[in-house]
Amino acid sequence: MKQIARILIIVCALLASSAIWAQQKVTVKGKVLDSAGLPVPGAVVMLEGNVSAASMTDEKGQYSLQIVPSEGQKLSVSCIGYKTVSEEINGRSTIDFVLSDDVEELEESVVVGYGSMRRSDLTGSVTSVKMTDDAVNSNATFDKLLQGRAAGVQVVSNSAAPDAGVSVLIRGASSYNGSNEPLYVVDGVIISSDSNASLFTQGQDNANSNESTNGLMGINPQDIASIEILKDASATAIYGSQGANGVVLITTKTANRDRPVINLSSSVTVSWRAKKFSMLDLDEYVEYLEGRGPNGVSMLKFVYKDPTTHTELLVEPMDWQDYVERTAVSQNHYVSIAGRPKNTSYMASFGYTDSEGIIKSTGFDNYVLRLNLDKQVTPELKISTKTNFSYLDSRLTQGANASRLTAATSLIRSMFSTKPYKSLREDEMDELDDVTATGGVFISGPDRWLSDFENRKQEVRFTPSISVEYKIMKYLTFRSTTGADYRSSDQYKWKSSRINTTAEGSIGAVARSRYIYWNSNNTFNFFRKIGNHRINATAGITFSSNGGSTETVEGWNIQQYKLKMDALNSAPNAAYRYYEYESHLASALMRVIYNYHDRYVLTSTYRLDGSSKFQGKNKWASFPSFAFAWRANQEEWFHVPEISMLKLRLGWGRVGNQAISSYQTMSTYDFTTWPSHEIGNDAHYSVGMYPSNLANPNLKWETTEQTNLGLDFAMWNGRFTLTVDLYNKNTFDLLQNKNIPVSSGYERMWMNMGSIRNRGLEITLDTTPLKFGGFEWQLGGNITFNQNRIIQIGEGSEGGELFLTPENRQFVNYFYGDKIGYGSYCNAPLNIFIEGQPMSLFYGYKTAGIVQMGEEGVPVSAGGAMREPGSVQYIDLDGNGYIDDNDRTIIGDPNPDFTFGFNTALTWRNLTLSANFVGSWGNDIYNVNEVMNTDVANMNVNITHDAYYNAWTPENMSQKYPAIGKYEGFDIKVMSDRFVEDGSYIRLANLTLSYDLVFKKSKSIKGLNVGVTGSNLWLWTRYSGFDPDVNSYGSAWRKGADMGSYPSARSVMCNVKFTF
Amino acid sequence: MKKIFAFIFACSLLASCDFLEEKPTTTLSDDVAYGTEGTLEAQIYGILTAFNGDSMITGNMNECLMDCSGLIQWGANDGFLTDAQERWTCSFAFTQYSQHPYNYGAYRGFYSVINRANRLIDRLPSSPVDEGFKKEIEGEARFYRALAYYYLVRGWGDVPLRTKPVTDYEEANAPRIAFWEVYAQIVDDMKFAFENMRDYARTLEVASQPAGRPCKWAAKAMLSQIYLTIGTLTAHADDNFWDPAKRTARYGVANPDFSKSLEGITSGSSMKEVSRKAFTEALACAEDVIQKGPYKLADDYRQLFRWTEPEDWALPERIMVLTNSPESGVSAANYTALRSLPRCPEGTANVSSSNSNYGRWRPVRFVFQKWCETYGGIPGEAQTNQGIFVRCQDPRFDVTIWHTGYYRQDTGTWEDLYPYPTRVYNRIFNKDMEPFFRKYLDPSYDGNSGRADFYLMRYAEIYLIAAEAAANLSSSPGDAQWQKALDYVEVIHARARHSVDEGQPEAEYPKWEADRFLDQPDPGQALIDGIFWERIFELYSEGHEYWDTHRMGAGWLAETIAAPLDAFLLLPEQQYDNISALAPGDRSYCRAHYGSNTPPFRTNPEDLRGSLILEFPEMEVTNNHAITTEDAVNDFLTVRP
Repeated sequence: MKQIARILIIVCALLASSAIWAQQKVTVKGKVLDSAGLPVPGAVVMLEGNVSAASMTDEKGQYSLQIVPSEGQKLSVSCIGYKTVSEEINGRSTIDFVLSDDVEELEESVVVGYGSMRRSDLTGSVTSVKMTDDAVNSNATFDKLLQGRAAGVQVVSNSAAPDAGVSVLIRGASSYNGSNEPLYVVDGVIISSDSNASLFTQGQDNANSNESTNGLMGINPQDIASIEILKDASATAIYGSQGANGVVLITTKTANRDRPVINLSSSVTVSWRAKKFSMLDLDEYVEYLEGRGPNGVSMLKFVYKDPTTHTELLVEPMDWQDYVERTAVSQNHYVSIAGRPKNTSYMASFGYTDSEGIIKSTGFDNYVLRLNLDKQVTPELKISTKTNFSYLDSRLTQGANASRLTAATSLIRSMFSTKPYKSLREDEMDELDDVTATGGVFISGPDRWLSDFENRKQEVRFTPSISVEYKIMKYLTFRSTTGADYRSSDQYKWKSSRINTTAEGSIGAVARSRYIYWNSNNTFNFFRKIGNHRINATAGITFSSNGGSTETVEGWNIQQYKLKMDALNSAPNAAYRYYEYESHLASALMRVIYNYHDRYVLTSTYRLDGSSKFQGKNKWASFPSFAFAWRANQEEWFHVPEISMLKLRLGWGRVGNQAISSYQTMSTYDFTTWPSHEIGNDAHYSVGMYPSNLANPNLKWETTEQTNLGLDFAMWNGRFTLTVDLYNKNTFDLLQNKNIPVSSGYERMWMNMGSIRNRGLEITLDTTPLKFGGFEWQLGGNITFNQNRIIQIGEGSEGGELFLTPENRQFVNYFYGDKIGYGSYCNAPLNIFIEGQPMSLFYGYKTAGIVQMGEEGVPVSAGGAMREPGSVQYIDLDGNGYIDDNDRTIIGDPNPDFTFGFNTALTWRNLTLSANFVGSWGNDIYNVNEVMNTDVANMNVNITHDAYYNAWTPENMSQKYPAIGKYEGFDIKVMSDRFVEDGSYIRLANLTLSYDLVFKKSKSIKGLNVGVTGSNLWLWTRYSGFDPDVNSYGSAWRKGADMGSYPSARSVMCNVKFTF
Repeated sequence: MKKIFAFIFACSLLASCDFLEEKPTTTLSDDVAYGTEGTLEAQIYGILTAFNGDSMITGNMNECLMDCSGLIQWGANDGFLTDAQERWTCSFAFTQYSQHPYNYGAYRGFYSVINRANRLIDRLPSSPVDEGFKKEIEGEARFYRALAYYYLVRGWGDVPLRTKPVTDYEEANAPRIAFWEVYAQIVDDMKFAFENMRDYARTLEVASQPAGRPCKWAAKAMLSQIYLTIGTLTAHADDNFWDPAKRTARYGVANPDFSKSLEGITSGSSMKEVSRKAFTEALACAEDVIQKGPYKLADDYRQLFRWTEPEDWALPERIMVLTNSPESGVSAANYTALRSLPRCPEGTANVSSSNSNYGRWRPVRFVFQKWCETYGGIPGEAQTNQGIFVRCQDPRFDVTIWHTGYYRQDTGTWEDLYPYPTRVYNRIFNKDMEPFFRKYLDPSYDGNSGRADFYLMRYAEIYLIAAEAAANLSSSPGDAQWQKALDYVEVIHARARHSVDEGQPEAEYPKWEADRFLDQPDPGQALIDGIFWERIFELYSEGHEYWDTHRMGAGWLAETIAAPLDAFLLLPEQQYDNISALAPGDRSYCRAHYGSNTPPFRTNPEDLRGSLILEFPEMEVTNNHAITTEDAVNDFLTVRP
């Protein structure tokens, strides 16, 4: 847009100058330099108020202008990226200008889908994220740096691991199908944020092993110039069926100087654990076992050779948390060079990150290369290419399977549950003996995880794009961008049988997945200003295709464990799997922005999407939107000079979601094998085939309609800005993989049913309360209130009587989410979805402390067993005398009341102290780790200090921890309010002290910035786990659980940045 | 603008022609799945896999039902249970609760079979394959469908009846249908199967046994068992799982209406007539199989469970078998072995380390003693096992039960088992010391996979079906039918007796002479009970126990199984002798590994009527909107213990 404006100015100026040729003229010339003293070419020098006298600077920054002199004439110089300056001529013939950077002007145009527009023309809800140096330096991925920085955007880490995934939720969850993630678009190319393939399908402890990593590691935050978040439907409707969860638009850096600018930055980060749990040490553990009586004592022989005399210690005490954790040192280096010689702009960068996790052997290396090139070939034709290449080498050691969390599947679980000693015996046979003798509970500990487990993922990602921009006529430009996101990852995993209870041998697997997403966007852009009317229109067609494949080879029962992955080839059993998929999308899109008098702006968009995932009449769907903005401060009657902006926005739009896997509308078949002893059949099986899905040919798009009302307000030259947005977002025809009666032969079927509403309020405030001398204090923040409701579950929904509160039992439609745990722990669904209630509520038993001595009328368990003194006291809500399923009620809500972030910065001359706070309020967390760490029913695991020393005894009538020996399978299997905790928190996410040096005179070095940033230095929370910023499963079906989460860290980073 | 739009739409529509069509590559679609003889065969294996998968061998059905029979018990670690307490409680009540995952899993597995069969039958007409071949395939698919329904109807009584593949959500919700309607469908399918399936020779030709595929005679054999079941159910109509009053309210008919499955029976026929007709059919079918069928008893009972020689998998005694092989690509394929053998027993191969998954199906001591008592038991002489039998003369006994002790390969230690030659003191009486099943001892078993098959039906059972049907048809002791029953049992006995090593004398145990049951107060019932126990001894751990104990009515279950079993566990010789101070009424010692505070077995016939079928799976009730909570409750379901 700015480019066009500039060309227009020049054209007008030249036309005008020829018209007044006849008059008497003098020549004024001079140089235009930037603040660093370098020439600024392409700057427009113009006689103020007279477009007929204008000139442009050449490569040396020189200009020459002929003017008809008169009194009080001013010469102004303007150039993109610089503040416009003007100076009175006063009869001089040589005038030099020094231009200073204009940050505000750069921000003025906003990238929106398929183009950009003036910020003042915005009618939808669009948030720009400030890209500050300390933010980009201290976050490995850009999605993490969105946390607390944009209203309406809720960012929750899946875990604190260095490369863990992040759940980004824009304006609340509105889909059950697991994909509530926004669409990510980098320089116009849609990229994938998926994580990875799953490995290990053989063997109970290893089944469906999958460690979710962050799918956005390939984009270096330091390459990013701006991030725009499109939140309401009027802004995202241009993305049609992909826009329902919001859109994150990323623009990477380009050169804004002709001369080359080199940036070089390096940082070193030291991280250490933020929290340690108090588990029993060896002496305490022995005391605990002895206290358990004969069963326990029999275990002591594994600690002492002679359990009666406690002689001959066979073990050494071990604090496994100390053993596993470390102080991690990470480093990050980044170099970039950018320049704009002769109509060509380039930006090349290289970033390297070596990140260590605080769990030994976790971490990653990440290399990112970027090259952005633009070339103005002719005045009409511009071509550009942007290429990103990344190589990620992740080392994951968290474990094999998060949902079946045991010491045999998770290093972190093993760190807690392993008994607090390490065997001193060398003989492996002894170890085996130990295994069997303790009743099948594995004794190996985290040491084996560190020595006998390998999990590595190497991903190559290549994201190229080519754009052509051709100015067909004065008002019409054609733009075509074709790009791809190609990802190829190799993952391998090895788990020795020495860290497994059931496997007969070791297991190894390799997986290779390939993923490619093609985009081709072809648009015409029309811009015309006639009088007070300004029309900006975009229309075009886009195609995208999305395909991928995964191949896995897995070997098991491997007897040789010392060779690790090298032994895979000797696997006596192996399985090979290959799977591929493809989907296509074709769309037509249109947007018209009409601006009258700079007071009224009307935006309308329309998109028609066709998807290969749907059939017949459902293949095509249209997504319209309308929005209107009124810039009240532009009205003539508006006379409040302090108010620089007062804008009201109203928008409505419809967007879709088609995030289901391919081939759901057609009947498909899977292969299986039937064992055979046939003579001559060396494979010993026959191939079988069976229907794998219940196709639903009537599937259609999930649709979201959203209304947004917004207010933008600014005062005192931008020292106070306020943005308020109110929204109402209704999602209907929800795509659900619905449980159906198994008597149909299937368990689930994809259907469109039900509706969800999200309503919310977002407030963003930026102020500069103090500014004098070299001192400046900035304060900003944002807060988001979102209210989520299931309006309707859908036809034939499951109904039943539920206790919504202990007093209120009523008939409601509902369904359960997925089970959280497996086996004995939390083997029940945690989340319930009830019509009229927020999504993903916690559902389980209410408790009233512990049964005390002499207490009467204690309800009996469902199995008929008495709950004796010292047992957990469940509340018998329906009063039938038994504790059974009907006594469950809502026990928590993982949805926050509000989330917020605020930042403040104090600047004194070159020194800046800034702090960034993030937080969440009112959300509950189900602490599965606590369930496991306090399990006094299982004597084979270590427990927390409190679970033993504060356990109920007739003398110490605790209300919190049940008596040893009175704890039962039921207590750990079901969901109860005993483990629901308040997850509210406020965190000082970053505290940065930085010092900027500008070397005006030096020829080589232009700038130096040194800084120290502390992350997570302070946290306020009532949550007892590692960190309240946790959501072990990313999906809505299993929300709010903290299970085997990675320990959180505190860190301090020192960074230095040079500019040449 | 208009032109631009026209252009845009033209482009989009052009693109839509092909660009937006799905063409799956690694999953197959309808058009290729039924295209050739080979894919039709693959569909058949797909159906079979559903039996092998969810419903049977991987355990849902067996784990769900075995311990509810009263004759097999559960012996796994608590860690594998969802709620140990609940599970034990279920086994003392002879039924499984609706929330139990295995109850649901078995139910799901059988409907998976039905769905696959229905889909195949539905798509066959449009398949380009030769009509004759298609008929064979349809016959086999209907055989499996009938078999799955037969398990379902016995397990849960009234169940949804589906004979067409489900295509949408509406159809997915189907009501429960009166069980006699389900039987009618089963009989119809089995008859069709018998007419259209391949004969034995052709089955061998196509699938080259020992793949486990049944031939047409399997349908006839199954029919004999189905009729026998109808016969026994209706023979105890007043005492069985349906309540005439509730039936009348629900279906307008008080008594089961077998007019569609039994010729000559009308809606008004008495239950006695129905029962007699069903037994007649059962006997006719069984005799048909015996006289015209291709099957033969194996010479030696032990050969059936040897699992070493190629001919062991090709025995003509196999009517239908769920097969196992380590190479089938399914880990832990040999669930039969995994779940019935002790940990790392001698005689198996390559067992390198522990496996805590062992021994989840266990014989009960009650059957152990009963067997010995019936067929030449040898009493214990050691100080620790006086007063109990330690083994018996029947060669089948040692093939079936692993007792006394075993040598553990991985540790090189001897592990004691019931009946304890040397009782171990100072050790809690636990599941490790209960006997194990031995039938699935497979030398290639490596702790994870092996090749011991699971017999769904073998020829020996046909003789026992014929015997039982004849016994029920006998009007007075000693008549022709009575004698027939004894003769058919003797066939089984004779094979058992000479299942000894070459040169060894035949095993000595009593023949069923003509006067065998005549001294009993009710000789007719005594003969039927005798055949029942014969079924248990011949077929123990082959998955028949639950069905056999649950078809003859609540009074019978109480009298023949529940009460004696409960009394047995209280016998002094079954007590753990190191427990000295027991509180009065504390029963925990006799079933120590079930945990303490467990209730006694349900022995009241009125309570047991609710146990004759399983509670309807809760998940199905929740998801199936054509079934209300009221519909889901068994007629006689009483308050849970």
